[in-house]
Amino acid sequence: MGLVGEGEPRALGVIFDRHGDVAFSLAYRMCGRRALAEDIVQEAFISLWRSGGRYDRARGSVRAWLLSVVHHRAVDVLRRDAARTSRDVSDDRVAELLGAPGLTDREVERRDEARQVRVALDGLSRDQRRVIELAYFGGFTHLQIAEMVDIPVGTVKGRMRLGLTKLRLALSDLQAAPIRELGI
Amino acid sequence: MTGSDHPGHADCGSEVAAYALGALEPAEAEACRRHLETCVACRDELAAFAQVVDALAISTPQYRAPKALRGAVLIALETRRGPETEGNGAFAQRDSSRPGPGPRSRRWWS
Repeated sequence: MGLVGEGEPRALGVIFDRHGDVAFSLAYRMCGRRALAEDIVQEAFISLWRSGGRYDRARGSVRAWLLSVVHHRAVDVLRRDAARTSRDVSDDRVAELLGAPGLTDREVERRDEARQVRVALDGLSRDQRRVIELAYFGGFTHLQIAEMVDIPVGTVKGRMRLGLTKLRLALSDLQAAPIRELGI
Repeated sequence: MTGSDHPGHADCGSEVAAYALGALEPAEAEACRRHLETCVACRDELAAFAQVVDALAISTPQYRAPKALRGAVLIALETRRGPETEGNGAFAQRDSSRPGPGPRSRRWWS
């Protein structure tokens, strides 16, 4: 990131090689359209490039920072998109899933991390998972979610809190447990 | 939100959870932000929730970024060359109803 801050484009290329897949995966999950996901990721990397000089390693990883920017940009896009009806993964070109053969060690490690978080999500009640996913991946506010799900606003926020608390506990456990012991 | 002495702190947690998820309306988010300035307990809770929320980002099915995208990013850099000056980049135009992007704390999955 130091080289990015100094304006070295090749440094950003290295960061793309390391984190481009996970950034694209998040954008694609959120907007469901490959072309739009590409735009979001491109803008996120440009933001990273422009902000590189202010990156503070002590406050988090480059990946966490990048994904945070991707998420915010995707939410901005979703909230601007009034129609919101065409969000599925069938529009233009379907993205290529990362398959098991040919994965690098780093990719395997990341796939395992993703599985751990999915296991934790699966441990939530359906209602808790739904409000969290609508908020995080859908970009919906609690008022919108209350209307969509037809429950009181207080219930939405209560489920969010309970769900996040459970996730925090579950991820702490998962962090401590070797993956093979979890059977995933 | 009840202020620094937070006598009704039990009610704050749900607000903080929604804030961490970026799910509050702008005025609510602003009120939450003001409350966080004075409430250590809620700041601690937000920090814990923020780690969980950030972990959600990697829970998605993993796709291969299109090969052309890398080149497009680097070409875009050439046309919009140079790191930004303060207040001119991604973080300058964000939706103020959500916690800001960027590093907040060390994540276990970093």
